[in-house]
Amino acid sequence: MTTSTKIVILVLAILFMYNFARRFGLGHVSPIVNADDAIRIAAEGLSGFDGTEAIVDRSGGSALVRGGVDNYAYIRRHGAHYVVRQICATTIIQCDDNRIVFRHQDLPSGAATLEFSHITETWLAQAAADKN
Amino acid sequence: MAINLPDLVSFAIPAFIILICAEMIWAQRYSKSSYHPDDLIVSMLLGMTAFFAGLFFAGKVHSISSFAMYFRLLNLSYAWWVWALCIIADDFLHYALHRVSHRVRFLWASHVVHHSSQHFNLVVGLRQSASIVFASALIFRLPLVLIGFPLEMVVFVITGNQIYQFWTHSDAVRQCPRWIEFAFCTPSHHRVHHAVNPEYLDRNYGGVFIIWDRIFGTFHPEDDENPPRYGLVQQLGRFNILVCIFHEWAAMLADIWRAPWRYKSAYIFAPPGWCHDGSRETSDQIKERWQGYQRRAGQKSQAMEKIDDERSA
Repeated sequence: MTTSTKIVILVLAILFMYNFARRFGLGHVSPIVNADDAIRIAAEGLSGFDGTEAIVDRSGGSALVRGGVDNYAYIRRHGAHYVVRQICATTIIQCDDNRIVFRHQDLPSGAATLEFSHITETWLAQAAADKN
Repeated sequence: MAINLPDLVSFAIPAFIILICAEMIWAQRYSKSSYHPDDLIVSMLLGMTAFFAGLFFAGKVHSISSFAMYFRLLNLSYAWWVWALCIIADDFLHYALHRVSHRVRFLWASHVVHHSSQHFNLVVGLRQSASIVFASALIFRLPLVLIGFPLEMVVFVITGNQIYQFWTHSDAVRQCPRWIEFAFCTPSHHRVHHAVNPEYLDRNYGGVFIIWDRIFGTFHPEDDENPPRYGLVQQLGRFNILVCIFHEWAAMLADIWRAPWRYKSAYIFAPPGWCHDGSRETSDQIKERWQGYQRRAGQKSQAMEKIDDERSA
């Protein structure tokens, strides 16, 4: 068997398995259901991170957890799991009643926008205080 | 005397595909988060690039190994006990290379590809790096040739070792019989190796035999109460094969560029996570911090219990 035949067979096998995984509905991830869930995910993703409060994105796919003064964990869905990044308040560009926008080098667009149904005033005040 | 040994890879690839499909059927029923289509395709493409990179470097590595044969100490035959010795010696060298690959950053920059998936399944077993350092895996086995094991035997045993490790990347197999768990590297042991839980970091480097970890103090059993979470301490979070292959190389070069002269070499040879200004952590530091955190949490709960006891008294 020539090398090119091997490559073709391997590529076909990869496409077959990819299709197989899609048809089987693999890659399921439960959404972040509430603040406690977000705090737990943040603690698992950043060992020793002690989250005190959290706000969960409308989609349930991302969240922001506050761990202390100017210490936040940003959670986002990746595949069938979550990625957690530690961020500080200075990266927050915009913060209002139902939206937080912050810079993040990890993201292709360089920024993330989280849409919330409601952000409490306490949270907004803390974020503003951390930023300053 | 040279003998013709079968090409193990030709037999292994169809078996791999069948086993992966079988594991996906299992995942569909019991653990849908074990696989993700995007992660699968990235792992498979990485495996394929590594395979062809291996073929590309195979000739050069073979030339070096053939040259090394002129300096061999013994002229060993194909007797059964030579095979047995070769398998054991090769696995010991695998253990050593694997351990160094986790402790020296420029080797980690290549090996990190294998650990960069947050999923754990048979496909992750094929997720390897195409970067040059991986090809040096065979160079690390040069001592076998220098001792006097026949070159064909060494190549066959290395291939067998790699093929064996495929099945250890499975979430579907929970525990094997006790004697197998004691002597051999099993999926349970290897799940610990791929985990980022602080207790599990830098443990279970064994390839075929887990005995090396037991001897050299790097063994840690899987704890059902502490299920492993897979990937990297700082998760990659991308499904891009170029990012997977080069992210650590780019980060290492950036660190070297920015560091003062006296620290530059440490960014190549020190453990991953080492940083001259202390802004990042190595796995040892993470473990230390975690143990401190656990101790404080234990003390706190003891104090709470004491207060509760005093109140109830």
